Amino acid sequence: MDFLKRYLLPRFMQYLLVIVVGITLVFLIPRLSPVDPVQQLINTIRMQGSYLDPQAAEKLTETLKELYGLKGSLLQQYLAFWKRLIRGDFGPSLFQFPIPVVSLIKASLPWTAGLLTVSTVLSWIIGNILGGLAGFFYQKRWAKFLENFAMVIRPIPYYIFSLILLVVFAYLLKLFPLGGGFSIGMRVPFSWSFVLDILRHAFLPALSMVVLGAAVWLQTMRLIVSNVIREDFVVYAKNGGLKRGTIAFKYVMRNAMLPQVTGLALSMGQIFSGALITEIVFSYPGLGTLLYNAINTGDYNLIMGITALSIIGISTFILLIDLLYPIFDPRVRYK
Amino acid sequence: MTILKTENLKSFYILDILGIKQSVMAVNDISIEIKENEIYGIAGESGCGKTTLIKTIYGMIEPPLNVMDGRVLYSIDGKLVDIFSLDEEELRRLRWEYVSYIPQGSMSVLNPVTKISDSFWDFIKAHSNYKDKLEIEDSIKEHLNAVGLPLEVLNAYPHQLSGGMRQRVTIALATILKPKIIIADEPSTALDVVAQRAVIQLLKNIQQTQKNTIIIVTHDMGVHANISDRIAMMYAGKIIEEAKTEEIFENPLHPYTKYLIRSLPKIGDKSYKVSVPGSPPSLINPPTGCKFHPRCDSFKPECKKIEPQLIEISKDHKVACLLYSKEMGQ
Amino acid sequence: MNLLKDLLRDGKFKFGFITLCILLFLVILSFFSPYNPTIWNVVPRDLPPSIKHIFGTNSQGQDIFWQITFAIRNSLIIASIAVLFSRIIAIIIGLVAGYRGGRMDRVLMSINDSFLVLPLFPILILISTLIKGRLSFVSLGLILGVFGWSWDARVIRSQILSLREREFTFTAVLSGSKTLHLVFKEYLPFVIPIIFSTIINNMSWAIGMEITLAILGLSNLEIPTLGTMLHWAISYQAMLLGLWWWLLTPVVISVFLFVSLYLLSVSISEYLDPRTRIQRIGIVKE
Repeated sequence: MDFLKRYLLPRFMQYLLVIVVGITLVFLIPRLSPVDPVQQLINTIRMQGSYLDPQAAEKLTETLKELYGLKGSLLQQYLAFWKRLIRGDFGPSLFQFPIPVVSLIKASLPWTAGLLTVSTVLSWIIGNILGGLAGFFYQKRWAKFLENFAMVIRPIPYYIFSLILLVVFAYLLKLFPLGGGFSIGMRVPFSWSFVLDILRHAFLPALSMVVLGAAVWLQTMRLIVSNVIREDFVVYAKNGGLKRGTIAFKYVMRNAMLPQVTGLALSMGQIFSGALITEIVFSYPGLGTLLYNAINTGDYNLIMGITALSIIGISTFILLIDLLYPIFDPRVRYK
Repeated sequence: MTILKTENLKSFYILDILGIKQSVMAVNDISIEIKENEIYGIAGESGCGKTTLIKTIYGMIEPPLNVMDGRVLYSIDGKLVDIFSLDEEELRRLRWEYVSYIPQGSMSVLNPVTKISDSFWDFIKAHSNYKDKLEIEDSIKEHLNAVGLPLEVLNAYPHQLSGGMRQRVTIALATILKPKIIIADEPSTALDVVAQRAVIQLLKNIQQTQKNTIIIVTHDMGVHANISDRIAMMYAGKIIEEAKTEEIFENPLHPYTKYLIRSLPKIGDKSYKVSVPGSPPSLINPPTGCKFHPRCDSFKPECKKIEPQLIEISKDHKVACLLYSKEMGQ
Repeated sequence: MNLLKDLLRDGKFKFGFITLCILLFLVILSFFSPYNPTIWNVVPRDLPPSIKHIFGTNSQGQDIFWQITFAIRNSLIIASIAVLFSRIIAIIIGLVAGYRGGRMDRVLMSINDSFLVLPLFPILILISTLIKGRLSFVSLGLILGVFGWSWDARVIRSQILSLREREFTFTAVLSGSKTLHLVFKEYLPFVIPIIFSTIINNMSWAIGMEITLAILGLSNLEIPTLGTMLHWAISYQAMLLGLWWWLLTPVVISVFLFVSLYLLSVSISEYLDPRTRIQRIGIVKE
C-alpha cells in the first residue's frame, strides 16, 4: 500500500498532467492563430464561384463553427473539446469529408505500430548488446570502431538518413521499392507473397530506424557499462573469482539496463517523431504519410486528431514503463 | 611455514595522458615473508602504497597497474608457486578458495539488484563443486551466525542493510570457502567505534578458530596493537621496518616509526604530541637515497645518496635505515 | 589561447573544429555572392557541376554553390535564435527550480517533464500549418526555442542543487547576501560551462527541426536555408530527373554540419568532465 502511494501515485499524476498539458496545447494552438478557418472556408467557397446569400452564409458559418468546435466562449469550447475527446470523437476529416478522423487514423495506425514496435525492439536489443560488449571489451579495436561508427551516425536527423537510404538502395541500386506499404494490385488476403511483399516494402524504413536507434542505444549503453565495470561491486566480484559470464550478465548487464529502461521511456517521443518522418520519406502508409497529406490539404481536424492521439499514446507507453520499472530495480520496490 | 612470499616486488602505475608518460612507483622493491597461522599487519600513511601491495599480492593487476619486476609466491601443497606464471583460469580458481579479500568500505560491494543469498551462491558456485545443496546452506547459516547476523539477512537486498551489517556480510563471504589467507583492507575504517571493535574481535576469533593467516592493512596503529602478531611499516612504496608488534611499540628503530609511536596517546601522559613534519613524498618523483630523508631529524648527508636496504638488526626485527646499517658495518 | 590548444589535442575536436571553420568560411563568402538568392532564373537551369558553377545549378535557375552559402548562413541564424531563446528559458527555470526547491521545484519540474516527453513533431507541425509561409527567422527561432529548453533546464537544476549544498553557499547566506545576488554572482560561473556544451547540442537539434519542417513545406520557402533547398529539390523531383547535385549538396553539407557539431559537443563535454580534468592538471603543471 505504501509502495502504491509512494511510487505509483505521483507517476500517475504526472501522466495525467502531461496529457492535460499536451491536449490543452493542441486545443489552444489553432485558436491562437490569426486565421479564422471558418471565414477562410467561406471565402474559398465564394472564390470558387458559388453564390451564397447572407442567410445561407450565416447558416453555413454556424454549422461550420459547430463542426470546428468553435462555438461559444473559449471555456465552453475547451470543455466541449474534452467531452468529445473522451468519446473518441475528433470530428470529420476536412479533406475526406465526412469520413471521421478516427477511422482514418485507425486505418493507418497498424502500419505505424508495426514499424515502431519492430524497429524499437530490434534497435534497443541490438544497441544494448553491442554497447554492452563494446563497454566490456573496451580495449579491443572493434569496440573502438563501433563507438566511432555510432558517433558519426547518431547526429544525422531521421529525414536525411532515410533519404540517403532511399536514394542509394531504392533508386540507385534498385534493390528495394521506392515507397508505399505494398505493391499496387496485390491481393490483400494473406498469402506468402503478400507477406513477403510487405516485408520488402517495410525493410528500408525499418532499417533506417533500427540503425539510427541502435546507434543511440549503443553509445549510451557503452558509456553506462564503462562506468558500471568500475563500480565497487563489479571489482569485488572479479576479486572473488566469479566467472566472467556471471559478472557480465548478473552484475554488469542487469545494473546497466536500469538507466536504459528509463531512457527508453524518455526517448519514446523522439523515436515516435522519427518514425513519422521516416514514413513520410518512404511514403509508408502509416500515420506519418497521413499527417503529411493532412498538412498538404490543410486538413487540420486530422492534424489535431493525430497530434492528440500521439500525445495520449506516448504518455501511456511511458506510464507502462514506469509501472514495470520496479520489477527490474529492487531498490525502488522496497524502502 | 611460509604461506606467502614476495621477492623484490615492483609494481607501478604507468600513466599516459596526452602523450606524456609518468610512473607512480607505488610498490618499490618489496620482499616480505608471511607465515601460516599468524596475523600480519601492514601499516603506513594514506598514499604509501599499501593498497597497491595488496592488489599485487592478490593478483589483481589491471592497467594502468603493471608488475615491473619481482615475484609473488603462494605455498600451494607444499610448493612455492609464482602466481604470475599461472594462466587466468588457474588464478581465478585460487581466488577465494586459497586467498580471499575483505574490501575497504563495504558500502557498495554487493550487487544491488540481487539478494544477499544470491551473492553467497554466486561465490560458492564459481569455485567448489557443490553437490550437497543442503550442506552448503547450513554452512552459510553457520557463517552468518559466526559474524552475528540474523538469518533474515539472506532474503534482503544490500540497500536494506546498514553499513556495519554489510561489512559483516563481506567478512562472512570471505570465510565461506575456508581460505588459507584472508586479506583485510582497512576493515574497520568506515565504521563507528562500536562496530569497529566488533569487527576486529570477529577477525581475531576467525583466525583463532580456523588457524589461517590474516593480512590486515590499516593506518590505525590502535588496530594493529589489538590484533596483529607482526607489523610491517610501509613508506613511499618500501618496507622500512618489520618486527613483532610488541617490539614495534616498545622499541621502534626507524625514525618514522618512532614518530608514529610517540604520537599515540598514552594514559597519564600529558606531554605535547609531535607529528611527522612535512608531507608524504610524491610517488612519481620520490626523493633520492632514503625516501624519508627530507622529513628525518637524524638526517645525514649520506642519506641523500644511499638507499638503505631492509636488514635484520636483532631477532625478527628488520629495519631499513642508515643509522643501523652503519652500526652493522655495511 | 591555451584552452584552444588543449582542446585541439583531441582528434574529435580537431575534426569538428576544422569542418566548422570551413563551413563558417562558406558563410562569410555568402556576403560576396554575385547573385541574389531569392531571385530565380539568374543562370541557365539544370547544369551539372562545372568550373563556372562549382556545384551546378538547379531547376529554378540558381547557382547551387552560392545558394548553399546563404543556406548555411540562414540555417545557422535561425538555429542561433532558437538556441538563444531556449537557453534563457532553461537558465531561468533551472536556477529558480534548483534554488527555491520545494513546491516551486516540483511544479516546474512536472511542467518541464511534460515538455520533455511530448512528441514535439506533431505539435510543431500543428503550429507551422497555421502560420504557414509567414514565418520569419525570428518567429521560427522563437517557436523552436520554446520547445527546446526542457532537457537543459533539468541539467542546470541538478547542478544548482549540488552547489546549494556546498559550503560557500552557507557562507554567503550567513554573511547576508541577497538571493538574486548569490545566484548570479556565485553560481553562474559554474553553470556557464554546462550551458556551453548544451548549446551545441541544441543547435544541432534546431537545425534538424528546421530542415524537417522546411522539407514538409511548413516554413517560409522564399529564404534559402538547408531545409528549403532540400524542399525544392524534392518537389522538383531532382532525384528522378537525374539532377543529383541539387539534392546531394545540401545533404552532404548538412551531414558535415551535424557530425562536426556533435564531435565538438562530445569533446567539449569530455574536456569539462571533472574526472578527466584532474588527470590533465598534473601534466600541465610539470
